[in-house]
Amino acid sequence: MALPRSISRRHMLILGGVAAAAAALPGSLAFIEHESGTVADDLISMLSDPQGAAEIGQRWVEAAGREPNTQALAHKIAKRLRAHGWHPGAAPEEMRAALAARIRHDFEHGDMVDVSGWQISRTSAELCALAAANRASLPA
Amino acid sequence: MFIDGRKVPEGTVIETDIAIIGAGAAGITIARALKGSDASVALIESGGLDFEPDTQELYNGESIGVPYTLDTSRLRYFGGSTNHWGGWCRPFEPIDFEQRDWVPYSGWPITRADLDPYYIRANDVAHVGPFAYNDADAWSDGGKNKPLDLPGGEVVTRFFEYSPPLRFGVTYREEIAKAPNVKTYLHSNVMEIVPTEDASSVESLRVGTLSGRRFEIRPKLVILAAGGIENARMLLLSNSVQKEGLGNGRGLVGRFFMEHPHIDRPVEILMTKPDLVAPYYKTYTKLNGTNIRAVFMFSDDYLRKNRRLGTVMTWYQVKEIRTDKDVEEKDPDPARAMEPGLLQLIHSTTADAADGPLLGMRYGSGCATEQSPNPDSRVTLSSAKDALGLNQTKLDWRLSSADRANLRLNMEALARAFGAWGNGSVRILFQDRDKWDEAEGWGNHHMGTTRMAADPRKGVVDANCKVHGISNLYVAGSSVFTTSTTVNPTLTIVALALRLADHVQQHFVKGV
Ligand SMILES: Cc1cc2nc3c(=O)[nH]c(=O)nc-3n(C[C@H](O)[C@H](O)[C@H](O)COP(=O)(O)OP(=O)(O)OC[C@H]3O[C@@H](n4cnc5c(N)ncnc54)[C@H](O)[C@@H]3O)c2cc1C
Repeated sequence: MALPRSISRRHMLILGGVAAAAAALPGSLAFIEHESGTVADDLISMLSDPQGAAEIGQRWVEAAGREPNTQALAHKIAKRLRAHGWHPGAAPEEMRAALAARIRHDFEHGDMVDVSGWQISRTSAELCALAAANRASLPA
Repeated sequence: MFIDGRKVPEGTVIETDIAIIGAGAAGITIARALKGSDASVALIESGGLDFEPDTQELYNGESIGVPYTLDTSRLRYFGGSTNHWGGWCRPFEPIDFEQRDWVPYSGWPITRADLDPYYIRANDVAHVGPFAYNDADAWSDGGKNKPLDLPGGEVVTRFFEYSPPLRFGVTYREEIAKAPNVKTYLHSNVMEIVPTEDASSVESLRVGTLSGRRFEIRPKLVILAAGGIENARMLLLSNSVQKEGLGNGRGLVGRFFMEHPHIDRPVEILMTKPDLVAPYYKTYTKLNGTNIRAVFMFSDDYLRKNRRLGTVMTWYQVKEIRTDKDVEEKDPDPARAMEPGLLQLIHSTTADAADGPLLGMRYGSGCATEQSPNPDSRVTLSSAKDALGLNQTKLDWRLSSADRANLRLNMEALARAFGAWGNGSVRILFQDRDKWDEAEGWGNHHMGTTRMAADPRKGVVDANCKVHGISNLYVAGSSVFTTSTTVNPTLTIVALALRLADHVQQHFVKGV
């Protein structure tokens, strides 16, 4: 089975050195690091306009005075998506379905953030912040 | 028959069965309903058949609360403020009449069911179309128009129907003129409602003209229908026997003044699929011969569960958001510059992918919102006098920070609904503040100053609109509203006027 492009790239990174550093960490954390890194790319690959999303994310983190952290954001989003049937290695369409379900769930539960007045679901805002944290490597 | 009050001989005493003070929506409706009955009716109107500046000036007054213009928000001639109303019609909701434990002073002594038959007749009186205010099928245009399917059940689509807008004073002029039992006194200002010595009933009306003529009308029954502010002023001015004003033994006359604060652009809405938006949302739309418009309102369940006041929202199409826009064209407002990215985000997650350069549409909005009844929001008498030598109105309109917070929370509910729907996003422009001391706009809806309550300690009129403690004095108009509700008042004013006319027919006219 062919892996999605983003996962392959992440694997390359891991093989090229990150994996060696991870070996020094406790097993479970290494898994989280690995999963989050992969998920970050997978999540960003969902976006048809990652630069536009990154602008929204930047605005949100600046207003909230936060430092966007790829690992932490990806981990948080991944954890929520699991509750909607997604699992690491799932096909992109499954991720998209889980993401849509989660965003709807956020709105249904009033879990929104304010970005220049726009009321955005927390998960969407975190997805945008993830894009902002990875801005340098985003396609234009 | 029309009679010019300026030509009535000085000191004349006119006997009549029923006197109606004011020929606006309420007064004309009651006069028409009593047309042909056994009772003689005197319809007493301050103005003539057309606008006259010196008569209009009698509406000047002071505003000391939320800034408000008293003179331009009503008209003082035959037909009253219907000479410039907009014709927006919608009945009140059943919940509006209920005692809501989260709304102090709420709870009318009547229910929506009590008004139902009169609403249907009111629709006819105001020349509105079929009574289909909540019936999306009636406006589907052969299945083409569908209300937006917003999930969550908090935000609902409802319909306004429009009166042409009917100029009551023009359309019903001839009918009133020809009614054998109705005499209309024009250019005739009621200056005082004079009660008996014990103030238990009305004895006479002191009438004056701007030309200086004075005469008296002696009715068996009086219906005060001078408009939502003037009704209170008239009772307060009627103080020769009851010093604090007629019917004001408990100091309630003039209190609880309510309006509908209007906000321009409380939110902006982005939608990925403009073709889902039926034309009736965007502007006045003629369907089956009736002009209608769809609005957003908030469901009873939502209002109850969240302990909220109501809001009604209109919206309109503003601008397409596209990917093929030049960079120079980009909006300098940073929140606007986010729009393409935001729509792309929605297309990437909850909505279908965009299949061309059109990402979606931006919509603007407007809203009117309910204010909670507040005894300190009130009409009193100013020390300044009008041309008849009567104290002018002093209006102290108050809005509360809680009313403001309520509106903001309703906008958040709208944002939740659009987000959960997955095809849109809401930007809230209306900010929460700890004061609400300036209204952007209002509806020219003057409510609450002679409020209805079964208990005389809580209101000025009873469930039949009779002033508590005075056997033959009734009030018609939005001053009797116990709560402001969310929508425009006139259809309800007319429905209540028809109900009052029925009551008077049954309990008074039959005995004449
Ligand atoms: C610009 C504008 C737009 C509006 N649009 C809408 C709308 O779209 N939908 C809606 O539902 N409502 C609307 N309204 C409100 C609507 O016009 C009023 O609710 C309605 O006219 C009130 O009817 P009424 O009979 O109680 O009072 P009025 O129509 O004001 O009539 C009162 C009459 O009493 C007379 N009068 C006053 N004092 C005396 C006196 N001392 N002696 C004798 N006569 C007296 C006046 O001259 C007047 O003719 C609008 C109002 C304005 C100003």
